[in-house]
Amino acid sequence: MATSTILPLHLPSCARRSVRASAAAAAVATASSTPQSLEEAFGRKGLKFAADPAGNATAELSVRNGSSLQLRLGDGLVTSYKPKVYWKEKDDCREVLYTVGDPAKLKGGLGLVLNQVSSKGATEALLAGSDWTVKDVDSDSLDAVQVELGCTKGKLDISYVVTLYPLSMATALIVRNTGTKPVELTSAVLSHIKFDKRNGTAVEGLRGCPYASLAPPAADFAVLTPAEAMKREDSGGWFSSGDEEPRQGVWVVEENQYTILKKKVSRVYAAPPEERKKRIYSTAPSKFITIDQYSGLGFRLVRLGFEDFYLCSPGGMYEKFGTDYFLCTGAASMLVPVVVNPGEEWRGAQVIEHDNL
Amino acid sequence: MEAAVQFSALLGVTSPASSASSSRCSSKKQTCSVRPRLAKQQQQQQRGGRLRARAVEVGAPGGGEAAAGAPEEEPSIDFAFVAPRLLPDGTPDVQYRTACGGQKLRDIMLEGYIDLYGPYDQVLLNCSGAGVCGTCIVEVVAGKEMLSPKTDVEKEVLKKMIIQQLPDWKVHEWDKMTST
Repeated sequence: MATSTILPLHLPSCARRSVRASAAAAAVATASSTPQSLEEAFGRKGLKFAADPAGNATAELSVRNGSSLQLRLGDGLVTSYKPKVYWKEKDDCREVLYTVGDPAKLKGGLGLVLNQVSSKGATEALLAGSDWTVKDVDSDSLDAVQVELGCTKGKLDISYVVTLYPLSMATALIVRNTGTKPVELTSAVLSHIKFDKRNGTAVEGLRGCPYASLAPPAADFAVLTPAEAMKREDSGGWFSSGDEEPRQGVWVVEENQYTILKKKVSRVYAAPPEERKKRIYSTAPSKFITIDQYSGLGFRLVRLGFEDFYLCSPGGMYEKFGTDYFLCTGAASMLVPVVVNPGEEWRGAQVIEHDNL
Repeated sequence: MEAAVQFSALLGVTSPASSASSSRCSSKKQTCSVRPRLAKQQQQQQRGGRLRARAVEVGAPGGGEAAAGAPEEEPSIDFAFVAPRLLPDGTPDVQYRTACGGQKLRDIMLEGYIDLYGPYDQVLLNCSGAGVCGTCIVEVVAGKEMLSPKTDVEKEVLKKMIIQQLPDWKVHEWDKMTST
């Protein structure tokens, strides 16, 4: 796409921009972050700042073809992504992300989880209740809009860049270690994606990838808590001999081209940690595509920099939250912590793209 | 060198069979046979065709050891398969695999679940290895010497091959190639 070269997702340029802009924006960032002041400082064509019904500041990104994205600025949660798709014989914008609850306590959407693993093995959630500030904004006024949020946790400078293109949206995480000791991090971009019906929900492209049952990282915005996600549901009498979920720690290789997600699962698709110690190992696929049989739309999730894919389907539990079925999935680096040495930075990104036109 | 002997035995058995067989995958793709080399791993990044297969040689860790590589690992070839579509940020989408020699490259790719056929993956849309349809074209960027030489059948098919869709990075080169 020609447009994708205008605002390349190529992360070094984002980082450079942020380094230049943070000096200039430092003065602005300390100013109050009310929607009006943000609008004055950063508003432009395709980017509006407003307050949602609960009073949180949100940014609304939109591009020329009608696709739009809403980002809640306080905690960096993407609450809505509506790309333009050809659906039901007309061009329409359809919501991809699944959210539940009233605006004050919204759960779902697409959000970031970042945990620090200390040397003793304890994990500390770095982004719980965090306060992101808008560091920089970029757009080409027509087909690409980008917002960069930043926050500092201890000795880590964390940047979260959300970009909207006509056919895709990207979320990138840049972590820079400004301290003197190396830091170990696990992270995940949890995206809750909406589907029409439980029966027709599947994911394609993970064949040949080993998977294991794993609880998701805990997150404020997640619809299912880790305990709920791991709870197995009782399958019907005639299914009990069918494919069971592997016990924890057991790795199974996905055999099907289409992974049908009717039952309750909580899996991580990755190269097992023991494999990674070998000189050369088969890497997990870099993308998969979600399939919704009833709406006919498919969205491709691409992981860049992250090592694994996390995939969770609620099975029968989805009825507790609403009428739509959903999947909680996304790129993650949850099995083997990433080591960020002093002075270095680590980048990972997840792109949701589609060709439903 | 025990391993070397093993390899030549493998070579002796498989290559006449494979060169005679007609169930070979299409043009530009050759069967894989192993010649143990103790050279260092090659890491060149070159432009490729529909799917780039970079066959990276097995290096003896610690360099200079006479026997075949690490003591526990069997002799094998490392592959870096590069998909024709770039990732959204412009970097190539590389999948690493490792396999023993003596097999067909197509089999190694199918077993490793590399997306080889793309849209032609269905039952009757390809010739499943006969070497006549041209849907699973692979360009070998580095490591060609580890493949068995092209047969006459392959060379014939290659002459008539039409590439329907160039990979993302080659599109730019095509303009240069046609204009000069």
